[in-house]
Amino acid sequence: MKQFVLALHCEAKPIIQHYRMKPCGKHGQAQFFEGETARLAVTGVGSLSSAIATTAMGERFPSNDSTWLNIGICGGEDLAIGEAFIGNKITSGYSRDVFYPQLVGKSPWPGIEIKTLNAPSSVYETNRVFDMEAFGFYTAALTFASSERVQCIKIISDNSDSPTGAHFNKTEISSLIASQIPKIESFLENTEFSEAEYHMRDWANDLLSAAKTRYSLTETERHQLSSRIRQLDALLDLEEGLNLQVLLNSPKKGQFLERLQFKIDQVSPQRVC
Amino acid sequence: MFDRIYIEEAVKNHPRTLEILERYDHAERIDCRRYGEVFNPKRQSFRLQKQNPALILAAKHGNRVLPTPPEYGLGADQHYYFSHMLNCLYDCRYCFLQGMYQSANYVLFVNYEDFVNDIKVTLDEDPSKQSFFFSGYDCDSLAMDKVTGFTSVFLPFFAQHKNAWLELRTKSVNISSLLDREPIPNVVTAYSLNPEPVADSLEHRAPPIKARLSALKKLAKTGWKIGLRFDPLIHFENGIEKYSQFIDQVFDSVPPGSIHSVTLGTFRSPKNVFKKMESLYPKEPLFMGNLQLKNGAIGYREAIEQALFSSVEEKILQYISPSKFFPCQ
Ligand code: SF4
Repeated sequence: MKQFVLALHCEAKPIIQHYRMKPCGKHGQAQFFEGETARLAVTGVGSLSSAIATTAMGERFPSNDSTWLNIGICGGEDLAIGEAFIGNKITSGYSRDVFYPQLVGKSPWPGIEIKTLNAPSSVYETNRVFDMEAFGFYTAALTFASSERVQCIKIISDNSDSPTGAHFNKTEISSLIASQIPKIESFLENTEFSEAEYHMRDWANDLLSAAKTRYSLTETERHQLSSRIRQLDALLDLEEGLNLQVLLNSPKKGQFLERLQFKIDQVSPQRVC
Repeated sequence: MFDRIYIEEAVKNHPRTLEILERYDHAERIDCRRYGEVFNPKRQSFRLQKQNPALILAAKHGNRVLPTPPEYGLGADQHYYFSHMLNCLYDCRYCFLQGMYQSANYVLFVNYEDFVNDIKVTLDEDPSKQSFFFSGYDCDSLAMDKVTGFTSVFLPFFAQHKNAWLELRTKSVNISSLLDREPIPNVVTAYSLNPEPVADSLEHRAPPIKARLSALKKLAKTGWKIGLRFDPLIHFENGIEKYSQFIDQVFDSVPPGSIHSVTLGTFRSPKNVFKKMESLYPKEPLFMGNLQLKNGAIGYREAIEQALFSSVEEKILQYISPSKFFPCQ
């Protein structure tokens, strides 16, 4: 699932439209939207608002293979308006903490340091861009995903020639974001983000439920049972797996668990190589 | 080769840093205060990062040269190890590195001169003693030599210090830096070897066994001393027979006179490291079955380990004298 976090509605609009998202709730000033493959939070301006909305989204929609993207506008000293960057270092004007988002594949954008400030600034610094959300977003999103799955993409909306607030209206901001959607799509698609989530096959799930019903198990035994069936699921083909049902004839739970382990010990050396 | 290079503040002007940056001028450069800021944070996925690791250039402060545990000796008076690099180009499924570190990025400690100095200090403590120094504990010694220039600094040093031995532990066939110079009698190139089915299924991205044997042959032919490292022994179906055939194959490839030492080691991992490795690859058969926890470490059950170990040991001793054999069980 893609989880987008944006400060302003005008920034979010093209993404909401692209992924055909519908409103799906609120948390304080934050509004949530959901489509088939993506969710989005409009957080309001500021690092704290972004952190609060990101946390609320992560808690409301738990998922362990989501990619989190904070997208928004930023200011950069001599960088061209409309140019986009991916954060390779996230700092702030108020904390010594630093984050280094890690890349899995190639990025279509050059990397840059994003420094989050508490207020807009018309004083710029070389080699970094200023925004008002990335640091709060990043701090919060790391609770829900590893650093490879949390990224910030920023598009230059002001620079020392055209300082902040001087010229932009909502439509222009929307079109700056819209112009990056093809790259965002390919970044998410081309990057291999699908770390194996473990889904057992039906025979293994059936065996697990049948064993839980048949035997009265302690917490430790339940843990052993799940772990052994998970291992067998990885080791056996379908037919071999289905044959394990016969082990449920074991009159005692200890015997059943031992037989599962015996099977693992028997099969694993055949599958190592 | 690298999309990103992180540069620790302390080494940003180090000549080796500048040279590497010049060579990889397309890589994005990112400054950091200490390498640990990038390498150590908890919320990182070793497995995802392994797809495209970045390079981190840093300095190693202190604890550069450390004594090995007593069971890892090679018959010298003292044994030490040092790591100029953390993480490896290859991706062996049994490797403890994946369970050790949060990050799969490569850390290169560019202050080689400090390592060399510490080795010298260690040697000077008692020049009458023979000391062995193992490189390649947290990395492969040769795999990244073209990037790191490791051998160009350390080999000349060892060439001048006859009471010091260097082991280059490797699976790499990147041996031109050795072949291009005169062999150094107190440097041992030690190849980690396992039968083809193990290498093919568990030693991901490492050169195939045939290529390793051919590199080893070339080194032996030009006069370099060779170490054979059958470590870790892996239990698999018909393993005893396959190991036996494999030992024949290896000793057929290397002239006995060039063999400095042969070691034999079992598959063993501290419990917490093993748990992490297992969680990275929940479907890996290597981490399932026939294992036991003993003294805080996970290894094969005693009977299995003993049968495999003693049969391989017996086979090795058909080829070399016990004085060159260093089992570690
Ligand atoms: S070659 Fe050695 S250091 Fe590299 S991954 Fe394999 S076991 Fe680990």
